[in-house]
Amino acid sequence: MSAAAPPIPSGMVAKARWHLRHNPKADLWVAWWSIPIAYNIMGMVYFTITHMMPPPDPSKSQAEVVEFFTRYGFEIRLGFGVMLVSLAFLVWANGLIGWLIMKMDLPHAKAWGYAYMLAMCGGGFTGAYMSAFTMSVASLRPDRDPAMLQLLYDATYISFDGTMGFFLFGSLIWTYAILADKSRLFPKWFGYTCIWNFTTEFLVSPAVIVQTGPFSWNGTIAFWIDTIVYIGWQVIYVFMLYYAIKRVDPPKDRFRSMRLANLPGSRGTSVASTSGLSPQPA
Amino acid sequence: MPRILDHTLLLSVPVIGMIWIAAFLVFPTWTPLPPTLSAADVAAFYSDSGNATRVQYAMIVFNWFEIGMVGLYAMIALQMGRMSHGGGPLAWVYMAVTLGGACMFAAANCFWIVAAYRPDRAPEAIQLLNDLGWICFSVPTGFLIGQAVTLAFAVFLDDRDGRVFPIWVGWLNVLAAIAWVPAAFGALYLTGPLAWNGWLTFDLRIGTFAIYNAAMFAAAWTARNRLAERDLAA
Repeated sequence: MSAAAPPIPSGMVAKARWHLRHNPKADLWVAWWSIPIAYNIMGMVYFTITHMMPPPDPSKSQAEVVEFFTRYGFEIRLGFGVMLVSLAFLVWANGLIGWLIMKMDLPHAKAWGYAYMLAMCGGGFTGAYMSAFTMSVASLRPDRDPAMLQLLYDATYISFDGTMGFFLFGSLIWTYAILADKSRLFPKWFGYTCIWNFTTEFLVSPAVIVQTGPFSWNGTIAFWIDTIVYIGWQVIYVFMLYYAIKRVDPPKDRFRSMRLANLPGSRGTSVASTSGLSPQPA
Repeated sequence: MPRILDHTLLLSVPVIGMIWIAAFLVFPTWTPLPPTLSAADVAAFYSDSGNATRVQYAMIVFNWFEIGMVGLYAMIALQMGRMSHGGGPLAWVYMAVTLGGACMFAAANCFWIVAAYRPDRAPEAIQLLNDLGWICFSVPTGFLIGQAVTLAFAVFLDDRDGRVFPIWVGWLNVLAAIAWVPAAFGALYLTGPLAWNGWLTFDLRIGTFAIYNAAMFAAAWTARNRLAERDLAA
């Protein structure tokens, strides 16, 4: 299809350049790398910079909420700045997974792939962005009316926990696609582990009702068990995506085959024959 | 001779751009309200019937047309589908990520409209709505950065012979992505260049956005015509 590629050079930069230039899966690999990098930045922001995780007590008094925002104000705003820059790269992960679903052997695979991408992108908007804004606005003026700070505090954690439907649907779509896929792009057992993930989305829902106990937003079940399951599943899925990219056929580009047909002397390779249609008899 | 209806989607872009500029001029201040204003001053701004009316009219027009640039981005995504890695996920990623910016703008729009809707509310509540509006408007540049980086990456991956977009489009997107980074930290300070009325968060971001859209319109227009000629030649 294209000219023979030169041998892979040694040295990291030269190697990376070779892959970007000649590896037909370069875009898939870059999208794959965005997952560990962007999720690690996000984890660092939530757990170490902003102190948003592990979540503080929902039953904090107004004075304690004021104290929380006064103490961590600058870190909260700095951390969310870092997160807002890196968050868009999670769309690459969603795009990669949605695209892999499109490549599966199941009825209407493309529609399943689009549905996955849209569901997950919506989830990033409500789950991550809204909580980042309410938290930043609260910490921007900790001298605000304490009742309003408490409102923003509740809005942060409830919008973070209470908009899990996007992720529920995203995981449900991925689970179905993996289990129904005849080409076994992902192993079947991984499809069953996806069930863990969407179960956590159910378990978190009481957090929008109760203020104490294991189901509150900082509780043993709604936060700790869910987060541990989610992170464990996330580690598995990074590896599963690695093997799926290795296994999947490289993207077939219409433009490439169109250009091939334009080359002088290669009229035999028509668009029809590269797209799998039988050529018309002359 | 191309007929005008063949270009409806792209020709809508400069029209919507002009409507955006008009709505921006209708808004009572052309620079953002200073973040250091007291709650009473913010409430006074929205209580002034002249200001409130202009906020409402500007926001109604923005509300109608805030998603308008999506035609340009869809056209760019279509061209990305024709690049040498166009069969991969990048064009879809680009399309999905462009939606985010419009959604955040819509959120800001709603907060400002609510502030102007009942200006006799408690001044602290008006200030909170005003803060939420300006933060939602200024800070979420992550989507724009993601959009620019995705397109730049696709342009650099494209085949050297027969590029869909010329290489300057890739560099323009890299520069735009860098110019939008400071605005993501717009919630850090109430004064100085990073405040929501500072030059890094407001002027640089808005200026880059205007230049970016104009340049991408030109790029999408020529790429579209060039590919149409090539399709005819094939």
